[in-house]
Amino acid sequence: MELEFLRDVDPALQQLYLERATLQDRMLEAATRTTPGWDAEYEELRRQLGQLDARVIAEQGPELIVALNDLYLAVLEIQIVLFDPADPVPDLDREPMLKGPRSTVRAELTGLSAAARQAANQIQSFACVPQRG
Amino acid sequence: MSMKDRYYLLADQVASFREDIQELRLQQEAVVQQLHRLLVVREFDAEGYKSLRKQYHEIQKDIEARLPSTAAHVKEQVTEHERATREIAQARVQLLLSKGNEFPPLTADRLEKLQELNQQSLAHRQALQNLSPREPELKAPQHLPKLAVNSGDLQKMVRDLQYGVQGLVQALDRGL
Repeated sequence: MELEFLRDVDPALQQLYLERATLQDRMLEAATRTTPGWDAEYEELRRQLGQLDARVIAEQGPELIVALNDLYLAVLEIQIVLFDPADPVPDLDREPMLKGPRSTVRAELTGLSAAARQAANQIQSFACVPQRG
Repeated sequence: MSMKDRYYLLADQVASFREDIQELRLQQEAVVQQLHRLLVVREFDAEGYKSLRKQYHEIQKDIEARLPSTAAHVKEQVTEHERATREIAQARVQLLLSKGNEFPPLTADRLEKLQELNQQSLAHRQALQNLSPREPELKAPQHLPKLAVNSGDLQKMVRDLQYGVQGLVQALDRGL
């Protein structure tokens, strides 16, 4: 569903986002385990992410990594705002669990959605940059 | 209708009730997925969200009307454990995903904190598994006494049937 934000983005960049997001999801998943070896798996995935990022930075510059991270974080936070087992379909006017008394789910989602759109626009701007090598 | 026929009729009703609830749960899950998808599209559809949210709560009412009254207490406990698990998950995300420092190396203090969070989460998950009756049990196979007639055990079987039927009638009367 994250790709909806990237609808107008170069398919190669969409693929890059997916590849990074998959590694990030796997790192998050590894960090939730209690079984032995989870930390080694986390560090191995971290190494793979570092390699991927080094290649992207060499080809496109560090700004693209920042934009990809921003989109990943915004989408993840949207999921966290909604993931309340007691109320998985929150009233838009209720307070999200982590925010102060004046914030509402609607305000939180509006902000996160804008952040995700901004990150997607930033990613889109890289589509015109010619690939090096 | 013989007692045996009545027993099977009641057992069939319990089975179909379980299927009904599972079907409603699936419908509800589909609504939640649609709703979450709505929230990440470019133009947020507030009316669509409201309409799907209404559908979700209607299905929820339908499910709760079919559940026995004892389920309400269990549901509260489930909700508490799930809330705690969610807070742990949020703490974990904050530890690993602060802006500009995404997925940092596992330093000793970070490792210790993560292990602590994961142990807490495991304890809540185990407590959840020990709650009874839980909804996953709706999918569990039913262990009904065999009704193959054995002349030596006929009397005992009839008594078992009577108890079984009484139990089922009480359960159905309570809305199980």
